[in-house]
Amino acid sequence: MTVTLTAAQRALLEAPNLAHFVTLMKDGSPQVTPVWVDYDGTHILVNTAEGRQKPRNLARDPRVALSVVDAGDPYRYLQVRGRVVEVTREGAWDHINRLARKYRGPDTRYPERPGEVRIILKVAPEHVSGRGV
Amino acid sequence: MGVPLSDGAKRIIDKKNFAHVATIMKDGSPQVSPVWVYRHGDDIMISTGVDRVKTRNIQRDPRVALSISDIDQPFPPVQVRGRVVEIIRGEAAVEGFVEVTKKYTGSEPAQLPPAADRVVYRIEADSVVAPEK
Repeated sequence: MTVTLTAAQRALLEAPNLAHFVTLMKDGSPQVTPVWVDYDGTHILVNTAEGRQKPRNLARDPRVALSVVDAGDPYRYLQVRGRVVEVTREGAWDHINRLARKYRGPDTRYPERPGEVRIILKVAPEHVSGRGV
Repeated sequence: MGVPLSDGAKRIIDKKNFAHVATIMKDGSPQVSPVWVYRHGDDIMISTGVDRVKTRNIQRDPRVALSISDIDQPFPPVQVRGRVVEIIRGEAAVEGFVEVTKKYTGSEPAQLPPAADRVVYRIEADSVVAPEK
């Protein structure tokens, strides 16, 4: 069941804090990478590109987890377990540019690479915990 | 078989950066939490409380992954996949707590926790993606 985040949890995701995002390898072991994120009111959105390890892992097993520490207060953090319920190309370039502005500054554009197909991963949070949020 | 950490991985691990450690739940889904880490040679050490989800997970499945971003320059990060090769308990775990507290706070802990409450995990890397320098 999808959990709705509280205002404090949402604020942590709306600030430019990195999330560390876990997917499962073929052998069931974890893989974790830092990613930019935001929240659409229902899903946590992660932006990646087709062909990378994360989408390959998700095609096999949609279960994910992520953790976010408040860059301004390391004793505040959020931990989420959930699953990717949708993968879409729609709006993915606009989304990565929005994230680039959030994390890198208002004048930033994400560098386009020839042939790169951006995708949005929509994560439904199912278990949410943390500290100070 | 373990692989060595690059100089860049050691540099980022040795700073006061959080590591995000991923473990596997009983149902095979992933979990991730922020932790303090320190380093003994090529091994990454996590000092934590025994009464944690990750403790139960690691005892069942020692496969873990770590993601560490340098607070001053988050990309490229350190990404490690590996295994917990030793679980350190008792007074040796309290020594690990002291070592990691000094690393992150610059001073001795105000008080020592009961030995029964602490554990240290020694992680050997099987795969390391990190800056060379």
